This record gives sequence, structure tokens and C-alpha cells, in this order.
Amino acid sequence: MMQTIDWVVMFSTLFLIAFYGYWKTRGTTGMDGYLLGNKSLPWWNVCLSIIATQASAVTFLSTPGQAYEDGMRFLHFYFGLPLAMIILSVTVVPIFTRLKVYTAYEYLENRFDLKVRTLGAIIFLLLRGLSVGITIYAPSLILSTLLRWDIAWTTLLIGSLVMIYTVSGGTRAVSLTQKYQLAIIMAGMVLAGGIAYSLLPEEIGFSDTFVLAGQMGKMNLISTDFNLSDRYNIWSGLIGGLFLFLAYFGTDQSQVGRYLGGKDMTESRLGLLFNGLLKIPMQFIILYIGVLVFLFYQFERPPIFHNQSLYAQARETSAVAQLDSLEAVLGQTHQDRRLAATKMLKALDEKEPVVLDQSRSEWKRAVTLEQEGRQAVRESIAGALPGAKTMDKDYVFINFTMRYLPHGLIGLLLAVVFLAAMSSTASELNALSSTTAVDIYKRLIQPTADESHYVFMSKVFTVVWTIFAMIYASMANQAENLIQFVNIIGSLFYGTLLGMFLAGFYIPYLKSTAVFIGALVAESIILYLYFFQRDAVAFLHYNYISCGVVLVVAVLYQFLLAGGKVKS
Amino acid sequence: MSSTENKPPVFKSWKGWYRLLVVVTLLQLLAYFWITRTLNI
Repeated sequence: MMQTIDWVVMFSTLFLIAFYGYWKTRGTTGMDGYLLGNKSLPWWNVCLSIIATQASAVTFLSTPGQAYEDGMRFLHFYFGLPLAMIILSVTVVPIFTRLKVYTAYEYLENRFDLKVRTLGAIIFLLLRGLSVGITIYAPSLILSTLLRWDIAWTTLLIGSLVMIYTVSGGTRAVSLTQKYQLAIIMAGMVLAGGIAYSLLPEEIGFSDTFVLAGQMGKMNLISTDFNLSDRYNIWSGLIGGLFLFLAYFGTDQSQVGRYLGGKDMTESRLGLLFNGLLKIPMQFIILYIGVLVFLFYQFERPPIFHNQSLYAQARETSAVAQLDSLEAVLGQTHQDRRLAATKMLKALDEKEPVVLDQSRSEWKRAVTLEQEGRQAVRESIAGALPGAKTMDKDYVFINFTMRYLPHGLIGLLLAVVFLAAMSSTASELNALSSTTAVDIYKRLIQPTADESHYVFMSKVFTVVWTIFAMIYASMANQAENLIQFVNIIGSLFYGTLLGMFLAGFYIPYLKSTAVFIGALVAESIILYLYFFQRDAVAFLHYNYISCGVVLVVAVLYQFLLAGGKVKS
Repeated sequence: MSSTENKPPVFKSWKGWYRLLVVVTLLQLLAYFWITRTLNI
């Protein structure tokens, strides 16, 4: 449990970062200063800012848990990212830089007209506005469980810390704080991984961890099987990932705002390219930390349920007798598994293939029994506490840190979760406020005010969006369906946005009405599929379906109803 | 879009960076493929 040193480390880290962001950027003036950070960032800061925006708290909580349960196969998801970075560096960055835009959606007016820009901005505000509350809610829930605080307090802490520096310093404050946030996050994660490794039996060297993890089926990095229903294989990673990351980094203002803050086009491009170089190794490290925790629990008895707070609640009900007997069963299963793992290790060391095969079979039998036991625990908790969330994957890593890390580091790791939530929330709020101020307020409501008025309104919009996000996060607990909806919201809107931008970049004869109608038709089809034909098409396919529909409908409209191939 | 309108550091043109990124990604894929084939049972 937390000791005074942990509270001191956690709160001092959080307040120092927020205060640093506020202090370094206080007195920021002008729209270039507030919305683009005076275009002053070097490439490495652009890169760190991009990575910190994409990696939310859930990335650092769930990804090791994912590897613990399912091995390294989640890495497939990122294989399309480097190619997306190259395409964006060649096409999108020069266009945005030359047009000197504040937001991505300004390009749509420059290329088409006001209605296409406004549609793009509204789609982004819907998409990002609906997900920003969950960026705060998901870690708030886990932290509130661990710290035994009411969720309102964790939500309030994350929201108000972010508001301190995002409102005062805008884009520059977001980017300046993100470089320190990411450094602390990665240092904390690597330290936790190092401690997991140091707790393994002495005879296991670092290279042995790869061999042993492979024997236990966790080194499933590349699958070449082509299967549309399987989310993780090389083909879905390369093709689906390419479309997803083109849309995310090319049309989502929370990312576009990061590289628009680069000193010049070279710094923005290098920032994106280094993101392509670093992202896959970074995800590999985070996943491998989960594998190390998995190996540790082969030799040390794991908790029978990783969400300890929920488990303690269940033990206060009549389910306690059943949970006690499951504890005993799982204790025996762990003994069998530990013996088999030790035997496997010895067989590997002595190069005894027959003993190795035998011990692996024994280990698999023990694992099957353990999985059955853990399923029974989940069912028992679900019976005792109706409506409780019995998936404990997200708690595996943080529960390990709370139990086995030295005091002081526990506080640092909790600060890591808060910082990760803050860094992605700050970018999202900054993007929501920029888009509301530039694309809606300045363009449609008050076009003739001076710069200081727009900076003031950007600050007002940041406050309004932060309060909205905190209220939304507090209410999310009561609306489970809403959370499921938000998980897929990117796929509902990204394809249409990407289609609008691709039409502008690559089909010069398309005019605004054609693209506007294409986007409306595409979005209607996707919403119809989601609300009325949910079982027919898996939501990951929405991305390229809607992108394709925008382009096809726009081209057909242009040729059949609007005079054909007249160059814009 | 011309890819050489502003000179990147280290390489003579942007193509150098793009090639580096493609090569590093391919090498990673090969390494992960090799790890999966040789270690994962």
C-alpha cells in the first residue's frame, strides 16, 4: 500500500510538471503563439509530443496486461505506422506548412469551400468531443480503485492539472510538458520492467527470458495467416493500420497541431519520421514488460484476481466460502505450474529436448486448469456483485507495481499513469479549443475581431471543453453503452474525414459539392451500418469503406451531375 | 509534391530518410518473424 514517500513523489511530480508548463509559457500572446507555439519546436520535441499524444494512460496500463494474457501479437497493430509517416511527410506536411494553417480543416476551405471545411471541423469536434471524457475516465476509474478515492477526485485532479497549463500556455505548454511527461513515463516503465526481471530466479539470464517466453507461447510477434476476422496479423496491421494512422495523423487536429508547431517543414517532417522509427520498438518494450511480469508470476504466486479492490468487496459477500476454496485450488495449480516451469528451465539449460517437451505439456495442463480456476473466480465475483466488471487485464501491471516495487517507485508509477492521462488529454483539449476558435468562432461567428480576442476565446473554449470532459468522465460510470460506443467512435468518423482530405490531395478535378455530398453519403452509410446492421460488418472495416464511399460518390457526382472533369 | 524542396539534415534528399525508415521497419519485421519462427512454440 501507499506510504508517505509515495504520496510525496506522486504529488510533487504531478504539480512540478503542471507548474513548469504554466511558468515557462505564461504571457503567451498572439494566435501564432497560442495555437502554434510560435512554430518554435525542434524535431525531437515534435516527435516526443506526437508519441505522448498517442499514448494515453490506458496504453501503459492495458498493453502489459495484453501481453500477459495474449503474448506480443498486439505489436501487429503498429506495422502500418512507418509507411503512413512517409506518406504524410511527402504530401500533407508541405501543404499545411505552405498554407500556414492553424488547423487541418482550414485546408478544406482553401481546396474546396466553407461548407466542406465546416463539415470537416464538425466531424472532428464530434469525434474528439465524444472521446475526450473517456481519455480521463478510463485511468480515473483504475486510479480511484487503487487509491480508494471517489472517481470524482481522480477525474478532478487530472482535469484541473491539465487545465492549469493548457489554458495559460496553449500549444507550447502542451508540447513542453509532454517531453518531460514522456521521459518520466518511459523511465518509470523501464524501471518497473527491470524490477520484474530482477525478481526472476537467479539462473534466468536476460536472453533466457526470450527463450522461456517463447516456450510458453508469448513470443507470437508475427502471424502471416490471412484472416479477416482476426484483428492481429501482418496484413491487418499493414493495410488496416496504414489507413487508420493516415487518418489519425493526417486529419485529427490533436496530432496535426503537434507537427504544425515544428520550427519549419524539416522539423515537422523529421518529427513524424522519428515517430515512425521509434513507435514499434517502444511498443515492443511496453509489451515485453508485460511478458516479464508473466514470467515472474510463473515462479511467484499471482493473485487469483488482479483487481484487488473488487476482490476484497466480493469477499465481504456470501461468495467468500467459494472464493476461499478457489484460492486453495489455484494455489495447488500454481505449485504444479511452477514445478513445470522450473523443469522447463532446467531442460532448456541442459538441452534435453525430451524433458523439455514433457515439462511443456505439464505446464500447459497446469495453465489450462489455472484458466478454468480464474474463470470460476470471475463468475463467482460476477454472481456476488452484479454489474461488476470482472475483466482484470488492465490491473495486472499496476497491481504488480503496487505489490512488488519499492516505496517511492510506487508513487512514481502512479504518477506515470496520471502523466500519461494528462499528456493525451492536454493535446485533445488544445485541439478541440483550436478548432472551435478558428474553424467555428472566427470563421462563422466573429470574423473581424483582433488577435487578442481570439486568444482570449481560445482560452475560454479550453476551459469549457475541460469542464465538459470532466462532467462527461464523471457520468461515464453510469453509461456502460456509451463507453463501448466511444471505443469505436474513431472508426465511425475517421474514414469520412480521410476521404475528404484524400479527395483534395489527389483528385484535382473534384469540386466542393461533390466531396460534400460524398462525405454525407459515406457518413450516413456508416451510421446505418452501425445502428442497424452491426453484425454484418466489423467496425474496423468502416475506416476504408467510408473513405472509399466518399471518393466514389464524389467522382460519380462530378461526372454524372456536375459537368465532369473540369479542373478546379 | 517535390520531396527535396528543403534539404534534410544527414541525407542529401528526403529520399534518404524515407529509405532509412523503410529499411529499419523491414529489418524489424524480419527480426520479429525470425523470433516468432525460432522461439515461439
